[in-house]
Amino acid sequence: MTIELDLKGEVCPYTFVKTKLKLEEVESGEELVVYFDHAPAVENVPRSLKNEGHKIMGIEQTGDHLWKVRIRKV
Amino acid sequence: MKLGILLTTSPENENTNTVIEISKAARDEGHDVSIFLMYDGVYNVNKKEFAGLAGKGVEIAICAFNAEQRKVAKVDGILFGSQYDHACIAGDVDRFISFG
Repeated sequence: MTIELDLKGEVCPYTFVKTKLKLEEVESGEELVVYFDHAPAVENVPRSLKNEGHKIMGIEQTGDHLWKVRIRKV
Repeated sequence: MKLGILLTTSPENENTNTVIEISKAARDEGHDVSIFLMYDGVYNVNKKEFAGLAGKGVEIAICAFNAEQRKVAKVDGILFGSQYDHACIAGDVDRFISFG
């Protein structure tokens, strides 16, 4: 099962905080897909989540200033 | 010992020189030093003497959001990170000093 989180319009640190809170609702091994439109978040949120042990399954730019990040919860 | 420093003022402020000298002294004594820059503190990456600390074993991270707001370009050897990095530094060090 994949859960989606739309964080368009959000900036640091809320991008990381809201992603982390949403991950608490996700079961281990499940995937969370997060949408960002804030470029620094696309670098920093995946790096921070990897540091916490989660797996980044993909980062895809889907439009002008729009990114989709797939995270698998550890 | 691990020393953490938060710097939120621009290079014109005397805090910059204080942070540079404290960092150099701590490194000379063999201590680990990590610095986080936010608000106008991000401008310090453009000061040669400050950015040079990265080459002396000082870990420097800055708030990428604040840097983007102030149009501060990326600098090699300095992590353009987030408040997560700030929290990691604060949680990891033995002593944390704030200059604002």
